[in-house]
Amino acid sequence: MTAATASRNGRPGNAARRLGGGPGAGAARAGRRWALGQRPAVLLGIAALALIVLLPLGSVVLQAVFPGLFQSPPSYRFDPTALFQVLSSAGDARMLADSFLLSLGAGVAGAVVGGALAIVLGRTDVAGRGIWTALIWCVLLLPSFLYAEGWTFLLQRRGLLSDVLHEPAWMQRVFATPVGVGAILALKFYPFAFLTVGAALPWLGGEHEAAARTLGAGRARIWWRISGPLLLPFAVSGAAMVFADVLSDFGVAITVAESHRFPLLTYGIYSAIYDVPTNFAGAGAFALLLLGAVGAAVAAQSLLLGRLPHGTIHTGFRPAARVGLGRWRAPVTALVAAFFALSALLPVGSVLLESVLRSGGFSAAVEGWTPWNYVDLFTPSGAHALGALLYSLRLAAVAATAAVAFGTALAFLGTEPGAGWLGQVLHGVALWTISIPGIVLAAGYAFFWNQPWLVPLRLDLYGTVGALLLAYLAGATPYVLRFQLSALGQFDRRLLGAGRVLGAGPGRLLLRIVLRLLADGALSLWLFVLAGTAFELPASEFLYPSGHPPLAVIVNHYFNQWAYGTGTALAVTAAAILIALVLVLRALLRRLLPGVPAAEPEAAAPGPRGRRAARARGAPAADPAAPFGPAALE
Amino acid sequence: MSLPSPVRPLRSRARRLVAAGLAWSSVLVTAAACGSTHAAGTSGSSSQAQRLVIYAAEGYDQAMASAFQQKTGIQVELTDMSTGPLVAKVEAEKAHPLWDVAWFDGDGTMYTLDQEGLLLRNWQPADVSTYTSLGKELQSPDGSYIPTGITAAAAFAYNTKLVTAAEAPTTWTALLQPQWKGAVGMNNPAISGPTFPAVAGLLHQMGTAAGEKYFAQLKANGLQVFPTNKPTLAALASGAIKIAFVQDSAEIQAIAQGAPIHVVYPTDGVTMLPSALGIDAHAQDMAAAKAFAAFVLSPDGQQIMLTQGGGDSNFQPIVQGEEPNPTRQATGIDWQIVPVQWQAQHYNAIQSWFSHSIVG
Repeated sequence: MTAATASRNGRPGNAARRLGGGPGAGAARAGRRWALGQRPAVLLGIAALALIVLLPLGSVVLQAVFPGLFQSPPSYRFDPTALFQVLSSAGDARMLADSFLLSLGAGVAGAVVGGALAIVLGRTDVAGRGIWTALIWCVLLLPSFLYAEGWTFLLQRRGLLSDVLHEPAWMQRVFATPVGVGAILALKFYPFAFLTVGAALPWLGGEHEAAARTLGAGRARIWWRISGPLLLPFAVSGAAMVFADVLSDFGVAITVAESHRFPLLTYGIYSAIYDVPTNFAGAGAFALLLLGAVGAAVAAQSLLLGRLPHGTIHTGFRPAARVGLGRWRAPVTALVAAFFALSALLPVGSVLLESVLRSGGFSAAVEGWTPWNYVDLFTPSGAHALGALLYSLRLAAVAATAAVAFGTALAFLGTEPGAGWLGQVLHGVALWTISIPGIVLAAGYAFFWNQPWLVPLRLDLYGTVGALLLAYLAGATPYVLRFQLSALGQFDRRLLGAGRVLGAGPGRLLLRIVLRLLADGALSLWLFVLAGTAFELPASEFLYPSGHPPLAVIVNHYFNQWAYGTGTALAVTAAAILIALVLVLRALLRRLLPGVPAAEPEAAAPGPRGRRAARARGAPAADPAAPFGPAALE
Repeated sequence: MSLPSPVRPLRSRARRLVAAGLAWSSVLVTAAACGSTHAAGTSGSSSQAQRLVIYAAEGYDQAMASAFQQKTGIQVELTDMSTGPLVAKVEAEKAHPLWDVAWFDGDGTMYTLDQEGLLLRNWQPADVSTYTSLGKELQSPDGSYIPTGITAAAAFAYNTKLVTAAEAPTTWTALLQPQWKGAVGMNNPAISGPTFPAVAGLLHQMGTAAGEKYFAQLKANGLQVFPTNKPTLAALASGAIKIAFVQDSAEIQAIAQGAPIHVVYPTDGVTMLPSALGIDAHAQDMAAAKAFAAFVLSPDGQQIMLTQGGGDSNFQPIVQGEEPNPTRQATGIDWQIVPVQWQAQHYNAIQSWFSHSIVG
């Protein structure tokens, strides 16, 4: 029962409104005041989003039709030449179509792979679930340019591959085709779909399956008709994120693919930016095209799915049983192991390998092995690099905290009853922002936050660490937003209503129910943003305050100088620190806030009394294989 | 667990305002705090220690910055990135530049920045007479930049396991022979900075029509175009292609990394790629910038460039008394210069033609 329905019932609807409304239901006259009370916060939130994302992005996109906007002196003449050039060019149309199809294919493939893995790891008793989940995190947190470096290193080496395969050239040719590049990109970004589906899975209660089974449905039929369709919105949401990330990716495409076979839209943007003089109007035109394509995808998604996935956390919940694979356990485990060997161990392993080779270049000879790439980092000559690592970690921690707070606050506003339009808008804006290559947003900061009229106001943030932090926030908030919109949207309002009936105020509701359920997911989000920001390259490169290079800039500098051993050693050290942080913080959180019980193994299920007793004891921590505890991380 | 006592709910509107305001203000406070640091740094610089902001895309830029700071006490703040985004950054800052010195490969690019009025003109370091004859030919038409070293925009590199020294091509026209069908690779000038001068050089040398015909023939012979040096040289080292023509300093560094390749300079012309250093027309501290330029051309500066730049140290010095690293072929190269005015004039036409006819 929503607040709207309650208000239609008139005054007696107050109690009903309390039942239906979230923490925002408030006092008896809440109907009108609640809507008014929401508006300033919504305006504030949108204003903040505009300042950090929309206006900088707009600065670049607008130049497609107002190319003189940021000249000195500025010219406001409408001149759509660049836009017409891009729109009318057959080559550019093909670029757009190729990019779109590639991203669509990778999105679908990523959703299928991610969804299947989520189900296999979350609902079956396949062996080694903890290891596979850890590897998925590794792939998720590995920055795109390092992931690309891993694959390139494998493909370029004559020693290793040619000895094994005797024909390395074909591998390089395969990966230069659209299918090959799409596969590599899907393998990089499928973890988003895995997280999306995997977070919903533990909360997909067994009560549906139990009910269906009593009516005589077989397991396959249950999945096809009930569980599958219930998970579909999450799979589509995950596919959309993979789609957006592949569309904006440049790191993999530029190092693995041959551009002449199928130039991608990101090439178009980069070649406009690398033009001399820089063709920002062209980059803006391409960005506009990109936004249009993504907008079409967002609209299609909305039409297909209606509103956001919602309401799977509710009071009738019963954990679903884990399926015993029986004689299929070994083959399925082998298949999963082979998949991870190919998709995670190969690129991650080759980065590790490269970090212990003397020059990290082209020779696999034993005499090329050395620990000095690592040791040198801790000597005075490596102080610069280590300093950059710590600097990046500090910046990333601030950015992660701000992003999770800001994104969660926005998502909270967007999932209030009656604010469905805001939720949809935020969902769309988030997807748009993810799909724009980082360098466009960074260039937008160089335009918007460097305007001369900001100088007397002391708001000319460009060139300071403030602009870099805001750019990090702009890059991370969309992910937080999308995840939290789904997480918060999953709450059945009756859960919170039940708390209010018992007399809990909004603060207590927030702390005791919402935050407890969200805590594990919020921490995972924080760690995800931390790692992503620490390794972020395009915005960091463009915006870092002179003389204070972040981590990725230093690694990239080593790569540009062909010092791949040193570069990868630095990256691996940073990754090791991050992984240690992840493990420690998650263990701490598990101790402080035990999670909700996830699926129990069917065979070992204790009787009803045992289960009740287990829950009364304050249930065991969430199953390590269930992606990130309760449903929060989508 | 006892039931919680009924709590008077706080007003939701106030709570929401506070929550949103907190989130937003924490962001702004952080930003403003950092903004004020920056503002304090750029205002009243004359009363503070000298400060120099350098945007550079060279492997030896960090070493150079540290050495200069140590020698002169001038605070140097370096932004290092690849040439493409660096130029974009300089362009994006047009209304309010924050840099003093820009230093990257490509005098044509530097000339274009000058044409936009971004560079200080008619300045030259005192020791410009120490240039070699080659160096003197590369000086800026209006004194807006100085060349600091040269590499070959493109030299042949062949895979030694697949091609013997005798078989290796030694001229540009030799690449059109049937035995190299599908076996030749290059970079895309739209993405790879050094490749534009390489293509422009060939067109300038052969004449535009004949040059375009040459590339069309190369394409018909199976030319492969990769985005940048890394995939091109990776393809060469793995045997996917047998010949590549990219910037020679990259090829030399790949050899040092164990790539089974060898460099051959085509006897019918090697286009020069000079690295250039320019000063911002509105630089905060002109004296410091000019002192840096002088330091670059000094023997100390040249030594740092030759030893501490990784791949970029494999360049040909144009200052008298300096020798290139032994990894480089020092003599016998038929250097071709492409005038910067010609490069700027034909830039759009060449890029457009290449992307439509050769890549597309």
